[in-house]
Amino acid sequence: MSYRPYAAILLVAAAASAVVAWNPLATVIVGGSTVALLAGLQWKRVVLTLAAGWLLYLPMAVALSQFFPASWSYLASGLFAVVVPEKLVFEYDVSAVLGSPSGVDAEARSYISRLSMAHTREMSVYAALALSVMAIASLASGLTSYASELITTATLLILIIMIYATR
Amino acid sequence: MVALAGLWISVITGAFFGLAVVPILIFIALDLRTTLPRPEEAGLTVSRSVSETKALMNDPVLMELTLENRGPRVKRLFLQDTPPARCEIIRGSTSMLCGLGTGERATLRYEVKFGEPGEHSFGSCFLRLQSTFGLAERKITLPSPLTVRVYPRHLVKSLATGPAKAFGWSGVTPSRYKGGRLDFIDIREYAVGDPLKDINWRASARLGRTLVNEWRIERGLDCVVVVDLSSESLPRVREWSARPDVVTAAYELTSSLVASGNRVGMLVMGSILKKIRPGFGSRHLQVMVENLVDSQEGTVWSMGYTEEFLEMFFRKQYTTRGGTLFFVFAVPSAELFETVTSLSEKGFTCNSVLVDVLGGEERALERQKLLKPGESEFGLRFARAEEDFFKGMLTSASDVYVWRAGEGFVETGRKVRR
Repeated sequence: MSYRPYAAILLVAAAASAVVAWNPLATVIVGGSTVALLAGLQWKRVVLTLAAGWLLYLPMAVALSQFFPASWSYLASGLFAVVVPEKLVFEYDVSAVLGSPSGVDAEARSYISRLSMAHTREMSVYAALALSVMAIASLASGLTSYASELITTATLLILIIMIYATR
Repeated sequence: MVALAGLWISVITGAFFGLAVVPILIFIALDLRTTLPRPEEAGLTVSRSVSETKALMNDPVLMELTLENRGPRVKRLFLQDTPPARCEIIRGSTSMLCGLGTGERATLRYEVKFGEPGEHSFGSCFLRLQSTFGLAERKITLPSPLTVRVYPRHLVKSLATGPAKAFGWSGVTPSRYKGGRLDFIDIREYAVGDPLKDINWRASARLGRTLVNEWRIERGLDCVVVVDLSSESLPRVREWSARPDVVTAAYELTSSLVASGNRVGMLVMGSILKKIRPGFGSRHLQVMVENLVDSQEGTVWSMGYTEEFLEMFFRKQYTTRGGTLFFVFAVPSAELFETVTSLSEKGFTCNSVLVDVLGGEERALERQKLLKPGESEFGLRFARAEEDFFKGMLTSASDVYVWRAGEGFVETGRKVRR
């Protein structure tokens, strides 16, 4: 898969966020994100692409909070800002190999496709894990209305996962 | 660090903004749960092979780089090979992206062609071991040396002009051409030691005694090919160089002379002086070709040293006997003119072979966008005029030939005999 669909997703999300959020600061941030994204695409720069994703975090969260509870909107926006730029950056590496002007043989394509599948699988595991943490954190926040407690709970859960994973 | 800063901001401010740390922390935790092996623990080995270690110019050479993992699993791996500078990738990519489990292998294949004769070395390949999301990375360099020798291609076959002749010359040295016979002279009585193939069976039967045919022995040239690879007379436009054309012209000339049964020696003026004593046969030709392939342009030796080395390496009598000399060069110079004139006056039969590289140079200038199409017309006209001037001067001391890639040799000027 090319990096273009992910870039298009990011651009559409940016435009939608700017329109829904409808405030000057959000528009400026979305503009910055778009510039960073286009520069990242042009020169295949990882940092610029990640910056484009993370600049979108706040306007997108503000836009989503018009329809969903604020905490959920921020978490969903954060998840989006991780998943889409990461796929985009991965596709840069893929296109560096597949973009050879003299072509690529079937064997090299099969290696890439296997790696791409493994990457997608891992991203799915990540998304599932993040969503479960969010769900548990949300349940925990029912006990207290403070966001800081919610974050502390979530972080504790993550640390437990980290300890489990590294064993 | 970003995640920790976000967490701190969230806890301090109690705002939603810091919730971004949750997906980030999970992302980091998931990606860094497996550690990358250190280079010495990685157990990665690489082996390189090519379809041919000896290839002709512009022939495709298939390169295979096999990577084997005898260590722990590597989830994401980027392999980058470094082909020699003066080769062109004609098929495939020089990089590979894959995951490699324990005991697994992956092979990178690509085809290259070499546009220049010489020894081309493949060096190390570079590996980037990464975690699945690329947050952790380790770089490894694996040496995988291999050398491909590239030989000039013999393009013009029609140059082989037959026994004991090259460019219409017949020399004074007995030829080693198979058969070694040129003209029938007479019939005489058989003597012990005469070869059976010379017996004239019909005449013997008619006269009742054994008679043999007598032949005039074939004569060949005794010549030395002097190749000019000095930097001043070898045009270069970035990666493009006139060296492949000069080497190919020298090879075609030498091959033709040897195939015609002549005794041929060689002097290559470049970074290192290559000197091959005159000799006969295909094995001798092979020696000369190997020396041509190894030769490199340089500033040390130039045509001005020709006379000195003719005497030093080809015996003093060589200069007094007077042989035939072929000067192969891309750019005529005053030094060359002086050398040719001096040797011609000493009794050598001189031939100048100008390798026409102006077309190639023009294409290189346009390809590398140093000149726009059409812009080179004036420069080309000037260069041709300069060439014609030198060719005119050279005809006072030698015959002049022009060699063009794909066309071969064309005689352009005969020596003006006084």
